[in-house]
Amino acid sequence: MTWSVSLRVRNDLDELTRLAEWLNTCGEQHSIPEQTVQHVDLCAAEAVTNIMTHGFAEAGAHEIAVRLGQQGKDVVLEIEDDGIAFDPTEAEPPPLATLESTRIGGWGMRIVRRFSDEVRYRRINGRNCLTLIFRQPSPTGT
Amino acid sequence: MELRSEEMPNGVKLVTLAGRFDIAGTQEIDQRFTALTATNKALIAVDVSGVSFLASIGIRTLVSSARALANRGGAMALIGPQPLVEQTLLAAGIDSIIPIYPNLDEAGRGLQASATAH
Repeated sequence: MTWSVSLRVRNDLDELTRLAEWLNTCGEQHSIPEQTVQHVDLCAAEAVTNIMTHGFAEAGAHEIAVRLGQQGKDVVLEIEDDGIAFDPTEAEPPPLATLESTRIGGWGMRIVRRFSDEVRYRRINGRNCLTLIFRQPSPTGT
Repeated sequence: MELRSEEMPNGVKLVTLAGRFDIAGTQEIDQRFTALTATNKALIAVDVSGVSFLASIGIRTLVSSARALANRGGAMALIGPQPLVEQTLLAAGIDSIIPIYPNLDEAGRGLQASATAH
């Protein structure tokens, strides 16, 4: 990567506020376009919420590592956790909720797919490694 | 997050939300929002034009209240989402559960039509 910065958060939903503040500060420091920062912020919130809510079978303390960087023109967000293996590129999103159904949730993955340009997943040494790519238009427009 | 509510002359309750509708924002308003929308046959227009960010945790609050309202013979509509929030609502398919209108007049007409239809 051209540059990258990292943050570790505990598996506690209150940490999401610190994550959002950190992403927005990094975006400003590295002059990432505002719209891209918004998309990264949203995808990070959804992916990390998903890990904290569903990723750990037992109630112990875990850390989730978040890395923001740039590779060529693209902004790259990497999220790594030691939770249950989950490949979001393989999982089918649940059917859309309706007013009549009682099911709630299942929106996070749809939001991640909508606002990132590419989702990659690898399982390495018992850890989930999720990579989200946010493509940036070429400065010359080509 | 900020939450205000106002009873309008056309029988619609206007609820205005502003700020980041993320986990922290949801924790701030969830109970009051749920209480405001727990009225029989209420027509609730939620002005989200001041919401800058909507995460699925906020969507959960909106959908839970919309379902509770529908079960009590009422209805909910959303007004004026900013582009990012509207794109999030569409990506999650929420527009098929809670209709989205550009302004209060159109939301009021839509809510009254849905109330007379039931």
